[in-house]
Amino acid sequence: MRDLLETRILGEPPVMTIELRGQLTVLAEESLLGAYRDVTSRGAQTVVLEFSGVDFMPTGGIALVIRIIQQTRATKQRLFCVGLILHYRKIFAMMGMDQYAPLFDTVAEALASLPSPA
Amino acid sequence: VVSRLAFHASGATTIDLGIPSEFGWEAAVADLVRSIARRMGFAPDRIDDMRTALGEAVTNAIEHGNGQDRSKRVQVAFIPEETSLRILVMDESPIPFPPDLGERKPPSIHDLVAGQSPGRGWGTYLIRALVDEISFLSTGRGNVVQMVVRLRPDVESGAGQLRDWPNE
Repeated sequence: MRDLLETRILGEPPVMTIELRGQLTVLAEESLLGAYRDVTSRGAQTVVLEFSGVDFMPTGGIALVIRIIQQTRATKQRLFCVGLILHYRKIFAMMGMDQYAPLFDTVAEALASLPSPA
Repeated sequence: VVSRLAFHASGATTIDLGIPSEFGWEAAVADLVRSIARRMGFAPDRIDDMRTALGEAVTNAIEHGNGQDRSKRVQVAFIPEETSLRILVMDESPIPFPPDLGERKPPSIHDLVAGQSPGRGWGTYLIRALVDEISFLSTGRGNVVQMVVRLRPDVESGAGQLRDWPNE
């Protein structure tokens, strides 16, 4: 079966957004983690995962997000998750994902939470 | 197995399908249940619950039941009833479900992030949280997960109302 996740990278370092569209399943490992590696290699200090185009995300897909949480913690990057539909927002909150990757409705709201430059 | 278990649905139309034990098909099955549930008049949030629960059940059947062996099939039966949709997911595993499958607590997010947990357990927990009824049956020739989702959720059971899980 073919991976049905499309990714698009937006923004410039230090804040970069990975826009996700389609189905985030276990098949999306290379798409998602490859996009994360790309933004990291380009110098992203803050990574925003934008989920508003994600139509289906079982726990196999959520496990890939947890792998990004692990990697952002190791590299001291910030990670935000935005645009989740209410159903997945509830699941993320129930699992405790929001303790590691704050949830926002929009990219603008996520970026507004960043501390102002000194 | 389907015909023996579908006794609940006397007079109802049953939709059966068999899929290869290959990741990706769980998403196709989730798309199908959305179409069936829409025609039955389910609310969008209940359809989301159903898609997630069914996706997890099919994933478990593909991965744990049939070991991703493409020669083995996962059978799915949809049985529309007057006030509910009954869904059966069957694998070909001769090994019965663990007896505590329906009671297991999911791993904490802290253990998952720390890499101290293999990450098993959330799928079954989500199924239990999202459907109105769930039962597990081992036949010796395969394991069956039976789920029932009502048009109007069972408020007392809390189904469809994802509960917070203590992750401290």
